[in-house]
Amino acid sequence: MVVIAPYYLEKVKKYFSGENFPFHGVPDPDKKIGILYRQQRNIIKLGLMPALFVTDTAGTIAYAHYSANMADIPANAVLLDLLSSFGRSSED
Amino acid sequence: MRHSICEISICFQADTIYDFGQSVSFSVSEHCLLIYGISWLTDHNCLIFRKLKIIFPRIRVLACFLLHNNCKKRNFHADRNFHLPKQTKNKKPDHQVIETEITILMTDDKKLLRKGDAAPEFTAAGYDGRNIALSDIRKDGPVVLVFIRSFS
Repeated sequence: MVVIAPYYLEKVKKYFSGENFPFHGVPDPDKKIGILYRQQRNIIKLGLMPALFVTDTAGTIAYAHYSANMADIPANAVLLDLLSSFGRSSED
Repeated sequence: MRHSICEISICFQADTIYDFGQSVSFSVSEHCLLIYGISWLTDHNCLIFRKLKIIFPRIRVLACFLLHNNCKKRNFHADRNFHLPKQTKNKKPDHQVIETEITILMTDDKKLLRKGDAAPEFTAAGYDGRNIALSDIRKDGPVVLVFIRSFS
């Protein structure tokens, strides 16, 4: 899992340091990766909207979610089901 | 002639500034279209905005910010329909110090990434200094990319 944060290195470092999170954290202060993935900006909603993608090992997007509002985050169960399906397909 | 969103993107790459004469011009970026003006939002300027809506039918105005440089005060007006914003209590503003900026968000769903699209490749430095390349980490299995929100 890679978390892309539209903040400067210092802020991301502060958040991650000592937490031992089992995922990567990437500062993206210039929003370059956000722009690459078409992360949406909404002035009314006060900033960059969340987005979430799952890519398979071939580099194809298996799941894409652009949040309609700041709280519109996919449920863990949805992602876990999807990731489990990758495991099942590799066993087949 | 009607312009498409695609043509707007081309304009951005060429860094085109449209000049409507008088006090208004606008430029296009990846996410928004900025309209600059150095005078109060007049009837004449609103007419230009309405014309823009005809030229670029697939864009919509989300917000209008009136920046008062003299007092550093930012007044907000939703201006979806290109109507004149309500006048502030200060009534007549000082034309020399007022800048009008209107932000229009593009709403072209076709540009969004969908299931089945190729995930754009990127390499970036992580918070710990390690280089992270999507092509490398996806070799180990599916990758979840989480773009967190920002209130900036």
